[in-house]
Amino acid sequence: MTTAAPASRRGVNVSVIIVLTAVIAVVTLITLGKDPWTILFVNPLINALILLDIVSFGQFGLAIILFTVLLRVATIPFTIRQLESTKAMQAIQGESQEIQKKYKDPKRRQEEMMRLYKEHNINPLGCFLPLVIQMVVFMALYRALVHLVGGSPESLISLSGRLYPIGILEGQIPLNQHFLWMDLGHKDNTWMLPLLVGLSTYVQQRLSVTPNANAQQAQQQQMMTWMMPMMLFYITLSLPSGVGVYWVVSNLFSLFASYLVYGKRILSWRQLLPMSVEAPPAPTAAARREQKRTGPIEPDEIEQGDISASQQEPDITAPREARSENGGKRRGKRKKRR
Amino acid sequence: MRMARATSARFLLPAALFALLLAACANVQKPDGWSPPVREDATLYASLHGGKVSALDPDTYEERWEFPAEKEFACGDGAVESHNLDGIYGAPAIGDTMIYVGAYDGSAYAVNKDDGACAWEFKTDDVIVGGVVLGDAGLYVPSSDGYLYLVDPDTGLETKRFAAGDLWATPLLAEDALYQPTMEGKLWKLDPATLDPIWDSPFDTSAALLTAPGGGAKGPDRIVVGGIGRTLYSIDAATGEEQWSFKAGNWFWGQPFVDKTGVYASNLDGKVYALNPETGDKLWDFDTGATIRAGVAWTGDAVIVVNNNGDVYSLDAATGEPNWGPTELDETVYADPVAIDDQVFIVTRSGAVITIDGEGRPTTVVDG
Repeated sequence: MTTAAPASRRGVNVSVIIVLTAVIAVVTLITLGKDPWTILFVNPLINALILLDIVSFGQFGLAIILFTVLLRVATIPFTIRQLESTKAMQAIQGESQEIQKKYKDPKRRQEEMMRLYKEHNINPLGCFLPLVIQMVVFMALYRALVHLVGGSPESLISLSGRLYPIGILEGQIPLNQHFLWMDLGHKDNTWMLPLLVGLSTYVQQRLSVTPNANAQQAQQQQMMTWMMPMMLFYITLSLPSGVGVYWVVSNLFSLFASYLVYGKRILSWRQLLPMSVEAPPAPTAAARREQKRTGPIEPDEIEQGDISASQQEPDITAPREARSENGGKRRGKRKKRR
Repeated sequence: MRMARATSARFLLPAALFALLLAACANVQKPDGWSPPVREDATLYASLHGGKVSALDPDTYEERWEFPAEKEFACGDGAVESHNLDGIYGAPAIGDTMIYVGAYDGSAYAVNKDDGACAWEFKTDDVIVGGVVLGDAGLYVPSSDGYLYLVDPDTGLETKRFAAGDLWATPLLAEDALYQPTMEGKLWKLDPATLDPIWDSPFDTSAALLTAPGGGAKGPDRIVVGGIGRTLYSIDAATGEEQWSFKAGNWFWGQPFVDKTGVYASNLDGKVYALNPETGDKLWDFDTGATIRAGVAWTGDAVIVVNNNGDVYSLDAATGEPNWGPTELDETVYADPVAIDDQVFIVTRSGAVITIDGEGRPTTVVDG
């Protein structure tokens, strides 16, 4: 009698097959003296963008937007998993800190952390994949745009070797690189696009950031919410506008994903204020006992406002007094001292 | 610890973006141009640096002047303005007292042959990639803004315009007609004086036509053009009907040479093709091993070709066998080679001028 393999094992098998196939493809291409990055990522992207340009009636700006939306829709399970993972990790932060304090031996500490993650069904690396996808697409898109709307006849020479010999694709060249006020192959000298990139990144970061109990991490988080938008603003000043269009649309999509995970919280514009995210208190012993009694925290439970989770992650949009009531003893005591 | 790792992972993205920015600076292809040199009796004109044209002594190769000498200059009696010509792709057109260049900044310039001073500037609304052509009726200026302009060569004033389409190719001016390919895949036959279309409808194909038309200036029987569709077309000059087509491995960009014995064309697939002019059947091909942007040069019985890596060959026109080559210049070359007397002139991307003698021996006459 045969039994069906568990879903998780099937998932692992598929992942292993994908990774092995990718490794074999890369090694084969390198052996043949080809550039795997170009052949596996940049060239398919170039041709896909031209195909989307046809669908977008020759408006290459719309093709980039369409590409971004399709990509984000295709990867939305990863994005939501990343947000849920971040949120769930936030929920066990008190226990995680306790383990770090309690166990000095790194090996033991790691074991305990892994046990904690397993207990709560959390994949600590869950937030990496969307980041990696974003980075790979961003770099491939940049390279693709340099060839597609590079803004010079010289860039077309390099495009010639990357275009698949399909008549309908060849018929689209050269692409219309004007979109709204921008020349998609050149940097935006009006600064409007870099500002939009910076602003949308800031909003996206502020609205999806979760409170952090660790002061150092909270500070890092705070710094990142400023650093990332500023860096992206600066970088977009020098990159082809098409890359900026991708980034803005991608940020809007992330906001949508944040809404799906965090719900109404992201609609609070107080969250946009620079100092609005405060470190929540560590969970109380009673809360921890309650959590142990009720079992592991599932992301869905957190989303639905599980009591124990809400004790650890107060609604930061709520009035300060209300948060103090949820928040635990320390803040209450401090209030009394005043 | 894992949490800290996860947090620090957020730094990966900005770090990668900075790396990308650094890489970006090195990879953007600027429009430097690939204008081939032109020799008039006492002067060799060549674009050695992006967006500039130089007048050189043909014996000593000393530079007499360079246009523009400075970024800010005035044309004629106009005001001093800041200019950045970006790149010059077509060969300069030579007049009696002036030379004319079309630049990637979208303007055509008339430059005094004596001192390199700007006589006038004719502005269009988009880039100029094709070369300007001087005829009896005036100066033909093909622009990417959708128009072919006819301009008075003395004053720089527009006399006529024709809405041909996005123009990247240099037009071919023959005795009775002007042939202008477009990026929309059309080939127009126009009256050189009025710019009125002569064919009932233009020759039309699905992909952009990049090459300057081949066929010769003396009332050609056929016009040969090619482009992004990887196809070379022979078109009846009288009717505009397609005679034959030939498919290659990549785009055609260099101007084909048409002779009674054959049609000779370079292709971005790295090969030179010799075709039967009547049927389009392949007579021979020769693989240079690297992409070829430049067109071919004709010496009477040999075809000169240079690929983007700077490997130069002289090929027997009848057999395709190399007379000499490769002569390796170790320089990137996009500009057409030009055969003058018994020498071949090549301008490299770095701005060097290299001559090659009948035995294939190179001499760098102007350093890049």
